[in-house]
Parts: sequence; structure tokens; C-alpha cells
Amino acid sequence: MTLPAYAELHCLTNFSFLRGASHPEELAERAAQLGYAALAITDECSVAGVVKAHLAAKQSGLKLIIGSELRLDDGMKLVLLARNRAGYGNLTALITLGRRRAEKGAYCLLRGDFEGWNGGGMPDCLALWIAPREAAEEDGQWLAGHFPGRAWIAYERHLAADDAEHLAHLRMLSQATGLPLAASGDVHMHSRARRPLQDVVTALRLHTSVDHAGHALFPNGERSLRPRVRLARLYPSELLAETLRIAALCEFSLDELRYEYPDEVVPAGETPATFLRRCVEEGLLRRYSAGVPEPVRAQIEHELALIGELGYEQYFLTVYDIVAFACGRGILCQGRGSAANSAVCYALGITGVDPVHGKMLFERFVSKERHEPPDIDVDFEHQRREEVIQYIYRKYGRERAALVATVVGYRTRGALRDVGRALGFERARIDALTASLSWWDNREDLPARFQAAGLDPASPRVDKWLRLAAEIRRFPRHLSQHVGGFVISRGRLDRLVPIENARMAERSVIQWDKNDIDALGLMKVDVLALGMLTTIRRALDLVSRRHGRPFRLQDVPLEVPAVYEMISAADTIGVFQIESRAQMAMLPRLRPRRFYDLVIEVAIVRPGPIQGDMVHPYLRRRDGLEEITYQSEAVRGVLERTLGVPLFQEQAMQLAIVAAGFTPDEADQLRRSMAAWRLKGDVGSFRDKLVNGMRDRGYTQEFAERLFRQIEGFGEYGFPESHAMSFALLVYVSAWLKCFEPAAFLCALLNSLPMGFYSASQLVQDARRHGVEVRAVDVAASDWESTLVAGRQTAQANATAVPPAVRLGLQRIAGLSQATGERIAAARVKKESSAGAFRDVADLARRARLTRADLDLLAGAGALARLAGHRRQAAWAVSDVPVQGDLLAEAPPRDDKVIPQGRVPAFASGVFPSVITLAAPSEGQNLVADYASLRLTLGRHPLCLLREKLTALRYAAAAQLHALASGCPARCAGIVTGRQRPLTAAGTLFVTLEDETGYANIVVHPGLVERQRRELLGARLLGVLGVLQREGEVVHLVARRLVDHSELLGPLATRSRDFR
Amino acid sequence: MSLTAARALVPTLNVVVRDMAREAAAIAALACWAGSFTPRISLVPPRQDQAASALLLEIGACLRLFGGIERIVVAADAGVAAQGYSLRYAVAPSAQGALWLAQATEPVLCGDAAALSARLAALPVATLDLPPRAVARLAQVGVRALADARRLPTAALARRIGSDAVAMIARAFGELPDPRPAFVFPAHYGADLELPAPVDNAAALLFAARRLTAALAGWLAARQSGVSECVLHLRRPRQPATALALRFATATRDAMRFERVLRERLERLVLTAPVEALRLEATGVAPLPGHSGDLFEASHGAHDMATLLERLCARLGETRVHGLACRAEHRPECATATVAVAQGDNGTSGSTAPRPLWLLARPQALREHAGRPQRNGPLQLLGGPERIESGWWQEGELSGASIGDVRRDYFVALAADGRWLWIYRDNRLPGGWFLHGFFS
Repeated sequence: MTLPAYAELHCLTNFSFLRGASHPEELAERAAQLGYAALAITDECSVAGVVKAHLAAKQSGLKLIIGSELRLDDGMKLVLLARNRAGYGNLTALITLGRRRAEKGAYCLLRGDFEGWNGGGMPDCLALWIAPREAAEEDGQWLAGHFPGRAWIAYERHLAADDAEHLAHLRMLSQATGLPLAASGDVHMHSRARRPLQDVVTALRLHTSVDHAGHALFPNGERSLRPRVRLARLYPSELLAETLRIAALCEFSLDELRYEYPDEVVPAGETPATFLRRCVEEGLLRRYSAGVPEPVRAQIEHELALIGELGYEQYFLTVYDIVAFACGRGILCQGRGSAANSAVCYALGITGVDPVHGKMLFERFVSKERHEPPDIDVDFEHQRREEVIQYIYRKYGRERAALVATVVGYRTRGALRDVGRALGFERARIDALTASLSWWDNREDLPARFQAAGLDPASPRVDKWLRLAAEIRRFPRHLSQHVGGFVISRGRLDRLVPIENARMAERSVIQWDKNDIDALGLMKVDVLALGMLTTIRRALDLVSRRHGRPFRLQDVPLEVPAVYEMISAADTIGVFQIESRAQMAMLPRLRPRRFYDLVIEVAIVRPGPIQGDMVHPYLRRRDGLEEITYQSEAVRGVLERTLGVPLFQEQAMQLAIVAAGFTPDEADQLRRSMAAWRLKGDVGSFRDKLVNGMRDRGYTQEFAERLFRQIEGFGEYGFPESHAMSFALLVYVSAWLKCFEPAAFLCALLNSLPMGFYSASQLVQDARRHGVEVRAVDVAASDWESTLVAGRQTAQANATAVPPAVRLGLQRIAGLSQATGERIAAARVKKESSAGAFRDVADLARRARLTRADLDLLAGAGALARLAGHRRQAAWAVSDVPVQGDLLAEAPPRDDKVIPQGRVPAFASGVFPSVITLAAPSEGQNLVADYASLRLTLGRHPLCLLREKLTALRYAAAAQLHALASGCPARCAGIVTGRQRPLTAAGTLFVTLEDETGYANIVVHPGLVERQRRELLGARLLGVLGVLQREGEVVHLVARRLVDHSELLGPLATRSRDFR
Repeated sequence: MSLTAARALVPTLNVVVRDMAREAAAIAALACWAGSFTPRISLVPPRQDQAASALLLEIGACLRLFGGIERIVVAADAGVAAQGYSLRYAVAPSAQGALWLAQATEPVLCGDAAALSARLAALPVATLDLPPRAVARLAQVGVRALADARRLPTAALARRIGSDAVAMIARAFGELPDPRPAFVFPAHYGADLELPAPVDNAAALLFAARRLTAALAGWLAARQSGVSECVLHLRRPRQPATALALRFATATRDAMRFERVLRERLERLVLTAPVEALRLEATGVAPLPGHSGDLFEASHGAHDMATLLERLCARLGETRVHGLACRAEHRPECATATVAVAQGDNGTSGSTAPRPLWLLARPQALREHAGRPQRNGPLQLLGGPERIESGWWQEGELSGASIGDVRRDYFVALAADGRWLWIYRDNRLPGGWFLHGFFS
């Protein structure tokens, strides 16, 4: 028997969330393996999985058809298939219509939606009717009328008892309506081995367990891609043949999608090329008032020529338009990533890296060989990015601009939780298991975690739990919005890809994610948010105001030695990028002295260089401990600026080109596959090519192998040099601000929180150690945000030389609303000229329209000190002040006489004074209240109060550790402010302890992590007994034993920030 | 600390969720028991925001009867312990004062107002069940102990923490009357007790039943009555309850006597399954005469189905008579469930595919000849296949009822003798044909 040809026309992937049980790639690969003539991906009202299937199908030479399964609101179920580009556009527009009508995750389509199209139904689409057992003839008539000659009745055989009757019924319908029959499979999984997972997702969809899902589960595994030999037995041959006829009618491929740039960024009378040229020339005048340097001019001409050749002018102009809008509004922004390789981007103000500084690798950004558009990512001030987003929506409209989707998939914890539910484990059991999973646990530890939660990993159901949870990991669960990737098109975007509602009102997302967009060559503009830009802009504003003249980014003096000295001493709390513990440990060793050192610093403390073992060779060469050698002149050209050690992604690519004979295109593939290696471990082919290529060119095997290991180490974590440059700029500027305008810098940081590694408390402590005066939150002086105020005049200094102080804002009070804080500030300013500040608490409450709860918060923060005395006195005072809300609430008696005699007798006889004096709180009580309300204190550090006890327990202060020699046993205790377990550290956990003298860095090795998990996770005040380890100026305490001393803190509220 | 955090620290943490309904039932039963001390009882029902519920016993009037505070306390402690509870208590001139002291401290006896005042003054306000806002406010102004609060002017304090809170404090110190709602003894006595774990021996049952008999004794004492008959119902999983009637020759409310009779009955009882709950009902309370006597009288409708089923159950044993109901399951073995006789149709619809009326308890292997199944000659396949593949989740869990993952193709087959059979081919190894049921 010869195998019949077959095209599967009805197939769902796991992008029909909780319905399909296979990845699109798995389905395409399996269909190709089985020798199917074509495969249609028809997810329910979605094309979210088609790009992934398209790429896999292309690789295996399978014809892919794009379609969608739709259930109309009256229950009719259709599969629509796109015949050509027009039909595809109609389909995506219909999906958009159905999705935008319903809330996120749902859709709604009516029969009426098929009226009014020119040509009826959905032009250029084919329809399969998935007729139910009791299908009515009228439905078929309707379909035949709306899809003349383009509709079929699907016979889907899954070995039910009544298959023969069903087929007979469909044949009758076919005769009555004239719709031909075709075979299809209603495929939900690529292989019948997915049956367990299929049942699990079904149970999850119905919020039940597999034991109780009953008939909702499929009765068997027939909804899989079946071998053609089986299909031949199941279906009449003419029905199989019909599938080929249908597939032949579908000629559309995703490769046909042509993206068109929006054209309104070019004014009338100009071509994109002339206008881009004009913008660039204007920009060059701004950037180089003294004339454009020759190499820059050449670079510009080179780039413009390439841009023109590839037709990317409108893309640059689109980004320029957005950036120009932001600049016009005073919103700080800066391009990141490979755009920093472009002089054109610099001229347009998109990036800040002067092409004079570095070696531009424009081909990394725009390449003739690669048929893909450039990718410009722009960071905007975090707090004002929304203005930019709304500008884009306003300018292009919601039909033409939408955010890229992010596919939210199952991760370990969610997979365990959901599979556990589907397998009928009790909630408490599941909670116990997932709660005991820590942020650092690896998947390999799972069996141990099961055991710890009292579950036997060997029991059959627990074993299934583990296996199915592993299988469902990375399954997509829903579409969310990308952080800032916009797709903007010339025509209607919904004819390119369906648009859905996002969870956030006023946002819409397309059904494709970033990888899909990249694969299809659509243009994306990343409108990202960067907190440090907010800080820098705020600090610059504060400096400008204080000096009475504008102080801009470009006014920051470059290459100031004092800045580098500060950085080299690792005095970098609050500075962009180089404030983490790992960065701080590197700074004293690298001792940056110029801008390019910062670029290296940013790039070197990354998993890539660390795993590729590049850090130590670089440092040794820099310190002159190792000879710098180059294997050839070509290699010298690539690696000279990093002393012969490849540190950047670009260098790895260039080496592959100059030393191993890769084409630029191949080198780029190499870069991309670096990211994939970690996932698939498929390195063989590139390894051979690289090593052989280098040997052929006369390099030693050993050098080639080492280079390969280094490239491999980059993995997905390698840092492009251009990106490091953009970041290094912000590093320098923020460091300069910290060095020369510490008060403004602190103030700006506080107003931009949360960001970076440090809490407000740590930032304030650091600034005060640097002599910045910080004043308490005070209703009589504080605004909502922290402010820069005049410092205390001393006799000898004149006014401008007095360093400013920072007044903490009302914002620091936990629980106080912004509106309230702003009302207080506004009320004070209004009256300040005439009546002066608030007279008393009652005056404050009346003028700022405060509620009782507001007053309590202010009293608790100590912000009423000037009006009502210490905290307790203030609390006593505010609780009796009339406030607005009292009119509605039960009015407390205003006068003692009102209390009925005998109801509430005086507690004790005696005459009370009219003004009650309450005992002032102790220092410790104040501290606790400070932390509870402000999460920081301007008083002494909590550990100052405990120092005597800690000394008695023989704990040293953090600062004392620095005086010890390496190898000394040492003990230290402090408040846990951070726990970190980097991927590169092989299970070692880093803990940061804080005391009144600074920070102590603790290293906890994996064995101890397991043994003292409880102390590590639970302690707020941790005592560490260990051995000191010193490398230059960097000191670590390697823990041997941990002691939880949290009880010493009492109710003090502390917080730790935990990182992976 | 949140439960999640606690679990992160102790992964094997065993969490028991507080059951307010059972707690309320338990405190009501204890209130009945406390009737043996005094008829004037007030009950502080369990509240989600409070650690424990409480009983208030007004004992001023019965001190002489019992011979002093200490004796009452000792008797109460022993009575509570006998029922398997532990007691925290305080004796004080004010109800609120006694409550707070009982909640906050070791057992304490305050004979007079001065002793009470001294004890109360030292209590930290944070531990009292004052309104949460009042507690927060007092903390803000630095008031730690009740004594600190008493130093503040009453009216000013009332404006700040509310007059309710101030009144509560005043009541505790006995400065305001403290009327409490009296516990109303139920008109008929019937109390349930869920056992914490199933019990299968008489001694343990007897111990558990003590809670019920103690409560009954208290209830009778408060009503000045005795009981001539009461019934103890033993409930077991999936079985009708067993009723043990305890009859007394004369009316009594002597707990010892209850226990003696009960012990005799329990020791003779054969427990076929562990008991998970008890119910005690006072059916004959003296001096009320002529209580309904038709409990075991056969009467109306002797021929209806229910009576028949009852008789069948009585003759054959309850475990041997049961009904059948549909279960939504693809696997034929699991598509029906046996249910208790009393339970009717559960509304689950069965499979729409053809299913034989008679399903074999265990599929019978069929011989195979030339690829065709045989049963007294070759079988003719009429319909099918219907493929059933399901049940993987039970695979490996070989308890009695579990058949694990099945993979079968079912056919309707006609046998040589004209019978219609339901047969299947097993697609799992080693395969083969099986007879699973008869249509006719």
C-alpha cells in the first residue's frame, strides 16, 4: 500500500492556552517527520504561535498554512485558513475585532462580522466547518452562502463509538448544502505521548483535577499528529485527497509580510534621504560647533550611504522624532545597545557616545548581509516614559502602533503549583512545597525539596508531578506586554498582526513577541525606562537651580581625576551600574583612570567574561604581571584596546572574521547562537568551523581552543562594547554628581526610588558619612519630595560656598498619600507670606484638609515635632484635633461634661492638669518608630545601641574587619540588607550585613547554605563566625557558622533585598 | 509571620486550620457541663481575632455549696481535664477583669477589688482585646500598661480611644456594672462531637464520650432534671450511624452512672469500622412523663421500597446492599460507583456511547484464532472501534479499585449463539482480546 498524501488543516498549539499540549515547533517538526504535505496552525482566535511554527517548518521544509479556529457566539465552530496576503490581513483584522471586543484573554465574534465584506464571508480565506454531532443544515447553508466555493465540512475521526453514524450525517449535510467533505484531525498534541499533559491542561482550564474532570478529558490520544498509514485506515481516501486540494489553494507564507515604515516623519517636499541628511547636518552643527572632525565626517558619509542603500531612512527618522519629542519636553533619554556604534545616531541625539572616542562598528548595527532592520533601544526617564508612550499613540493612532507582546510562560514554581492542582494534591501540600522553594533553588534540588515537604519522590503520583511539571515548564500561559517595544506601521497594523487589549487600560499589544518580530524583520522601537536617567535629570535640575544657571548633561566636566579616585576606592553607593557588591569588589583592582576603563569595568563584571576566564588575564596584564602578546597583527587590531583579552561581544565576532575566516554574516550568526548554546548545547558545528578556520590560518590549536572557550563563556551574557559605552557615560555622570554635588545627588536619588541596590536608609547613611547634612521630615519645612535647602551658614564662609542640605520629603512616610503630602506643602506656601507657618496641629489639619489617619502617620513619623513636640505628645495632640471626617463619623464628645454621669467615671480621683505631659520615648523606642514609619533614622544606627551586647558576644564591627589579616578567624554581626546567589557562583550565597560602621560582606558556601537555611532565610540580625579572606583591599568573611540574633532587634522593621 | 514565611523556615510545618464552628460547639457543650456548678453562665464565643473563647461562671452564690473558691476551681480543673481540655482561669470580682486576667496570666484568684486592681494595673494593653484602634493609639502615646492609661484624664482619653474602650477598662476595674448575656440552656439536649481522629476501641470511645456525658450532667443540673433514657449515636464513614440506647431504671444526672452504663454497652459492642463522630441525645428527661414511644414500632407504608431496603440491609448487613450511580469517567470500570442505599441518583450523566447493561467485574480473556477473537466460535465485529485511553494518573497506584492507565479498542461483537457482546483489544502489551460485558 502506498501511503496517502495528507495535509493537516486543523491544529492547535499551546498558544491556545490550556488547550494545546505541544509547542508550535514540536508540531511542525513532527508533521515534517511524518511526511505531511502541509500543516495549518489554527490556534483559537490567535496567531501567536505561527512565527515559531514558521521558522521550524522552514528548517524542515514543511509547507505551513496560517489559520485560526473561531467559535462564534452562537456556538458555530469554524477554522479559517488564509489563501494569500489579503486573506491573511482579513483574518488578522477579524481576530483583532474579536479580541478588542472582549476583555484580555477572551474574544467575541458574531455571524454579523462576516457580512459586508466585498465578496462575502472572509475574502481570500477558506473555511472548514467543524460540524458537531447534531449539526443543522441551515448552518451549512449559511456557510455555503458566505464562502461560495471556499468552504468544507471537516470530518474529524477520533475513534468514537459513533464515527460511522457521524460520517453518514456529514455526508447527508454535504449533499444538502453542496459543501464538500475533507478530513482533518483537530490536533492538540504532536505525539500521543503528550496525553497526560493534555489531560493536565484540560483539568487546569476547568479548575479541577484529572480525577474529577470526567468526560471533559479527551477519551483517547487520537488528537495527535498520526502517521499516514493510520490515517489511510481511518479516512476514506477521497477525504484525504481533498486536504491536498485545500492546501494547494493556500499560497500565503509569512515571508511575504513586508513591513512599511510610517511616512509622516518626512515633511512634504522632502524625500526620506534628503530629510535625514538635513537632520544629521543640523545635529552635527550642534555636536561640533568647532567643525566636524574628519574621521567623523567620513563615518557619517559611510553610514548615510549604507542607510540609503538599505532604505532605512524612515526608521532613523521615526526614532529621531520620538527622541526630539522627549528632548523638547525636557525628558532625558539615551540610546543603548548597538545604536551607539552609529555616528548618525550621535548626530541625531539618539546616543551620547562621541564617535571620536571609539572605534565604530557600524556593521554590527546595520548590515548589508543581514536582511533585518536595525534595532534602536532608547532609555527614557523612568518617571516620564508614559508621556513618550502616549505621544506615540497620539501621533500614529491605535490602529498603527501597539506594544510587542511578552509571552509569559510556566516557570518552576507555577508549573509545580498547577500540575499539583491538576493531580489532585491538596492545597496545603502544594503550598508547603512551593513555599519552601527559595528564590535560589535549582531544578536539580526539586526531589530534595519534595522530600523536605514530606512528599516521597518515589511514590507514583509525586513522580508524575515532577515529570509533568518539567514538561509544562516554558509552556506559554498568557500574553503580556513587553516593557516598551513598539511596533509602528505605515498602514493598518491589524492587517499585519492581530492586536489585543492589554491588562493596563489604554494599552494594546500585538500577538507576537520580540523574537517573532525579529524573525519577520518588522521594525520595533524600544521605549525603555531607566531610573538613573530620572536621577541624573533631577540632580542636574537641582544644581542648575542652586547656581542660578542651566547645568546640562554636556556641562559635566570630563575626565576629572577626583571622580576616578572616588570610583577606585569603591566609594560608589548610588552610582549607576558600579554600585553592586561584585562591581565594588572589582573597582579597587581595576582602578579606572579614564573613560574607557569605565567601559571595561561595566563589561567585565558580567557572567560572560567571568565564566570565560577573561577577568584575571586582563587584570594581570594591566598590572604588568603578564606579557601582552598577540598571535598576529590582525588579532592585535581587534584586541589591542583590551590588552589582548576579548571582553566584548564585538571582539568575539571580529576575531571570528579576521582569524577564522568567517563572513560578517556568519559571525553574526555565531553571536546569535551564543545565546542559544546555553539552551540547546549545540556547539559542535561552530566549534569545528572556528578551530579549523584558525588552524588553517596558522594559529595554534591551543589559542584557537582558548578563544572558543572564551566566546562560549559569553553565552547570552556577553556585553556589547557599544552598550557598555552608553552605560559608562551614565556611570561617569552619576559618579561626578556624587563626588561634587553629593547633596543634590542624594536628593535626586531619594526622589527616584526605588532603583538600584540600595534603600533610602543606606543612601542617607552613605551621604551623611560624606558630610551631607540631612534634615528630618517636618510638616513645617518638607515638601512631598525631598528638597535641596540652604546649608547652615558659618561665620567665615560666604553664602554660595555653604554646601546645601537635604530636607527629607513627606514621601518618606510609609502610607502617606501623595495628594496629602502635596496639600500640606501647598497650604504652607500659601500662608507663609502672611500668617507664617502652621500655628498648631489643628491649624495644619484644617488648612491641609487632613484626615485622622493622615495626622497619625505624621505624628508617627515625628513630622509634627515643631508643632506638637515629641512623637507621643504629638500622637496625643492629633488624636483630639477636629478633622473633616469627624462630621460623618461618630462625633466624640467634645466636653467632659457631655459624658453622662456614671457611664464613664473618672478612673481615679484627683485634678488633672489641662495640658498633659507624656514621658518622651527612649532612643530605642524612637529608632523603632523611625524605621516603622520612614524605614530610616537620622538618629544613631540601631546597632550602636546594641554594640555593648554584641561586643560581649565578641562580635566585631564591620569596619574592624578591614584591619584584620587574611586567614584570621573573625566574628561579625549586622542587619541583613541583601542576599544574593549569582548564577556564576556555583551555589554560594553572598550576604551583606550592615552596622553603624558600614557593611560586611559574607560568603556562605553551599554546604552551609543547606545546613543553616533557617538562619539564612529567617534572620534579620545575623551573627557570623568565620574566617577572613582578603584580596587587596577587598575583604570577605567566609562563614563557618551562622547565629540568628533577630530577637535583639525587637520590633525593629528591617528589610533585605534578595537577588539571583 | 506569614504562613509562607513560616513554611520557608520549616518546610515540614504541619498546619491545622482553626475550625470556628467546632470551637463554638465545644464551648457550648462546656457551658452545659458548667451547669453543674452554677446556672448563671455567660459564654464568650470564639472570634477570629481572639486566641480563645471563654466561659464566665458567676460563682458568688454557690461558694458555700461547694465549700469555697479553691474547691470550685479544683473541681472545674478536674472536670475540664477529664474531658480532654486544659483550663486557664482567673477568679475576680468583675467579669471583664477575670477575662483579661485569665487571658494574660497564670491562674489567679482575686478575692477583692484591691487585689484585682493591683493585678490589672500591670497588664500590658497590647495583649487586651480592646478595639485595635484603641490599642494602636495607646501605643502611640507611650501607654504600655493599664496603669499608664489610668493616669490619663478619662474624658480626654475617651475622645482618643473611644468611650467603648474606656468603658471596657472601667468595667474590668469594677467601676461600671458589667451585664452579660446569660447562656440559655437548650430545651432539648443533643450534642455532637467530631473526634479528632477515627477511634476503633471502646476505651478511647468512652473517654471521648465523657465530654458529652459531662455536658449532659451539667445541663440536667441547671434544669433540675434527670434523665431516664439517652441515646449515643456512633457515626462511621460511609455507614449509617449506630444508636446505643442507654436506659436508666430511675431518672438520674449522675455522670458516674452515665459512664458505668456506657462502659457496659461499649464493651459489648463490636466495632466494624472506626468511629469518627459521636452524638448524645437525651430522649427521656424526667420529670416529663410519657415521652414518645414509637421509636421501634413498625408502622405505616410497610410495603414501600424504603422499608424493603431497610429490611434487606437488616437481613444481609448494611455493607452488602448498595445502589449504583454514574460517574463521569472514560474507563468503563470507573464509570459507575456504588453508593449507599439512601443516596439517590447523583445526577451525573453516563457516557453517550453504547454501554452494556451487564459489565463483568473482571474482563475475561478471549481466545484468538487467525487474528479474530473467539467465544464458542468466531466473533463477528459489528461496531467500533471505540478507543479508550485514559487513567494514566492512577498508574502505579495499585490499590484495590485502581486499574491504572488503559489503552483499549472496544467493539460490539455478535457471538455464534446470537448474544451481543462488548469486547476489547488491549493495546498495551502483551495485548489480546477480552470480553467486558453483555448487551443481551
